[in-house]
Amino acid sequence: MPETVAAVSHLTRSFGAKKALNEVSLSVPKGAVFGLVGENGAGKSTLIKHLLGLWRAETGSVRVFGLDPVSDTVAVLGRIGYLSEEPDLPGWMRVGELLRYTQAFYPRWDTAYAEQLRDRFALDPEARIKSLSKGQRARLGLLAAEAHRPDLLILDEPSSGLDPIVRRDILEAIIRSVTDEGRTVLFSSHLLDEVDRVSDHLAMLHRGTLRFCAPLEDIKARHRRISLHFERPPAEPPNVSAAIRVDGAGREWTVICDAGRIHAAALAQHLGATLVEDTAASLDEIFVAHAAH
Amino acid sequence: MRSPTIALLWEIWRRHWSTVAVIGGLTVVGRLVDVLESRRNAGAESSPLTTLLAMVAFLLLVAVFNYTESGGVRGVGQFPRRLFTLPVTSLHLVAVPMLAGITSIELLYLLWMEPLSRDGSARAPLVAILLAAFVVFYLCALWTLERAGSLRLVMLGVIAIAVFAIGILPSFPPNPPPWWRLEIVLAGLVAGLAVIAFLLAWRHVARLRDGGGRSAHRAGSLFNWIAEATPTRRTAFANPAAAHFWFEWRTSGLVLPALVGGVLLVVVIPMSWLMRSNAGDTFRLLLAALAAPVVLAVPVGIAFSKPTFWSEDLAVPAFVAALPLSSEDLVAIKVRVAAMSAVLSWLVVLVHLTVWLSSWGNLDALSLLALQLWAFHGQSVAAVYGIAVLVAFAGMFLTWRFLVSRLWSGLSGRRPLFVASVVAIVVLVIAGLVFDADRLPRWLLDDPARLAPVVWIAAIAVIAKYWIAAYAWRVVTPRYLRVYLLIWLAGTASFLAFGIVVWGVVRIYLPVDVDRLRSLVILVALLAVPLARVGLAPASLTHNRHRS
Repeated sequence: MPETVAAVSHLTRSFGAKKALNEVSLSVPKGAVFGLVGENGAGKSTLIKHLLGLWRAETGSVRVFGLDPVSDTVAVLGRIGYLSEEPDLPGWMRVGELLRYTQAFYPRWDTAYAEQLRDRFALDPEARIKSLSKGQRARLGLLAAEAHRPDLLILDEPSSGLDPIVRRDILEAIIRSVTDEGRTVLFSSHLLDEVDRVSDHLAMLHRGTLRFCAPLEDIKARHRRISLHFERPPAEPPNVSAAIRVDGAGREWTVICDAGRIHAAALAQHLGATLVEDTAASLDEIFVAHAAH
Repeated sequence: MRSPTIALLWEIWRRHWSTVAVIGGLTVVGRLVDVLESRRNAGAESSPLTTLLAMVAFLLLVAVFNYTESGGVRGVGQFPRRLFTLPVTSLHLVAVPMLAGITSIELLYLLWMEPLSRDGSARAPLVAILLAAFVVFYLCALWTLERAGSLRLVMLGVIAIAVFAIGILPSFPPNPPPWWRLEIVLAGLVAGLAVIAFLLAWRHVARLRDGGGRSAHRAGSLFNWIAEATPTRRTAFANPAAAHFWFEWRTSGLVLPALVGGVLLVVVIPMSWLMRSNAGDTFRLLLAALAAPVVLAVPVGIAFSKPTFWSEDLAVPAFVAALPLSSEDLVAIKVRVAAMSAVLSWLVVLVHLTVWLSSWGNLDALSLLALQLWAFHGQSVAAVYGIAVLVAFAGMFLTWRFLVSRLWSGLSGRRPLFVASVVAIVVLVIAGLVFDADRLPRWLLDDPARLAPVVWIAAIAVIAKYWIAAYAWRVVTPRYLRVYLLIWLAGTASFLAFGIVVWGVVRIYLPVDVDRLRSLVILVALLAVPLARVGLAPASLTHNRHRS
């Protein structure tokens, strides 16, 4: 059983009548790159805020490094690097001042690494934060979150602030270096190709409910895309018990199944159709199928 | 809704209909009270209760027309930027809230005109013009001074006082007043200034809308220049507390000393030079200089009590909430910054007094007071200097007290609680003005029996304070409890000592049967330094930080 960095159990959070998180349970293994996906308002940021202790669990429990992030704020936050979706860094500070300020909170701050990242991000230490562009601010936030080599790096929608070059080259390099050191990354994103490229574990939230949470390879292996051809158009969409999405019209139908190994040919025969294709579903198809399910 | 004007007005109504209902309720109750009072006491001025209700109704109306929305990096209230994409002119965007505000305040004044104008200090047309002008000045200041953040509160206070002062100018002797104090002249002057303010606001909003020209950010450039002039931190911090102290100090600590310095520079120093020959005026200006840090600490303390000084958002910013510091540490740092701010403000005052009194101050009245104290305290010079030091210490503690006493409500993130604590102060000040608070000591001394309930109320307040303090501090780390108890003891001791000194002097002039007053002085000294409220602040911040 791999060591767990963060564990959430039966977590529920409501905002008025709306349930932002509904009985969510998941665990983040140590050394993983844990991708959190879901549409806007799915509950990704709310879940991250619970992990940081910025929201207290209404019901259920949250443990990070085995501690309650609300009652053990200092111990938990001291080991986390956090980049928020909209980094609210104080505009009056200079870049250099922010780094010195942040350094004071983290005994493991690596000055040489911070300088290396600052050079790479092309950030002027004398520049005021308010004069930086949105992308530069996101880079600075990433620098401040990573320079103390946290045991858990949490990135809330990092792609929303970073331009494509920084996203592809630098963010991914940082994520790789974090995992090479045996540390853990948890990041939320809309960009499924990015999640596909860098993460090894994936969780999907949909309207506050956890749809799946597993190693990425398992998820891909479990989901199949089966294309069927009917001689005569069926009166109603084909009924497949393992299907999470059935799409098509007339004689051509596509079924996305979440059932591990499925005998597609037998399924086609049972439905009176011809099997056209049986392939692994893409992450995009899996996401859309679960979101619409 | 076919007209943009109706849509904009509907939005104001939709947001504030409940406040408008309260204003209506206050007006109905106030007028009923006034009718009943008039029947009992025909021809008399309106009762203090009627005036108080009217004041609250007008204040609420001003709050309704706070036509701003939180925005920008600091979350400061600013002209709603989302309106810039509407297909209407900037003039329309500026004129609709201003005209709606003017119309509303005039309607409200119409409803209150009869009881408010009964004392005859100012005639209705002048008051109507002053109210309309105030709405224009108010909105102009809100929109054009958005970079000043919470300091706009102080500026709006100055505007309100100036408008009020203009209103009472014609009633000053001699009668008839000189031409420049005639109502028609003053009304014309204020109306002219209001037109200029309107044009300024219009120009500012239009500039904001088109991205601004070179001159659009002149005020901003001034702030930028000040920011650039502040030295850059180049050395590492010793520990997290030192780092966050620096952060708090740079964002809020210097505001009070800067304001005190500004008031001394702009008001007290010129006046002290102009009135240098008059001993009485010198003494009054000395009192004003001593009162400046304490009085200014009240509005600054309101902004200081929030998680972010310059923001109207009461939530703890993620940048601070995610720091590995406990809520107790964060509150302790705020309390220390407040102490440093109070000390620096008083140093500014003391340096000013040293320079002024040793250079051009007329010391006759001050010398007489020092002589009386010297004679009263066994002809001891040390006692006189001791009292001066005690005044400075008590003043510092009082200043610091106003900075930290509202932390429990501001840090909680609960807007109704915060607003209630601010409104309580405003209502208290208005009630003090309306009911003539300076008459209270005389009213109490006229009949010593009146003192008994006041002493009892103070005693119950002291018991409640210590009971809540015991409850609040039970969950706070003992280290912080020990340190704060020392501070609290020092503050309370200085107030007690100050109270005893004052009592020693004033009792000579009081009737013999007012010994209860001594108990009251001691009880007030015990109430002066916050204990329970500071103890509640970490729990409030924890609630806000973890969105419990």
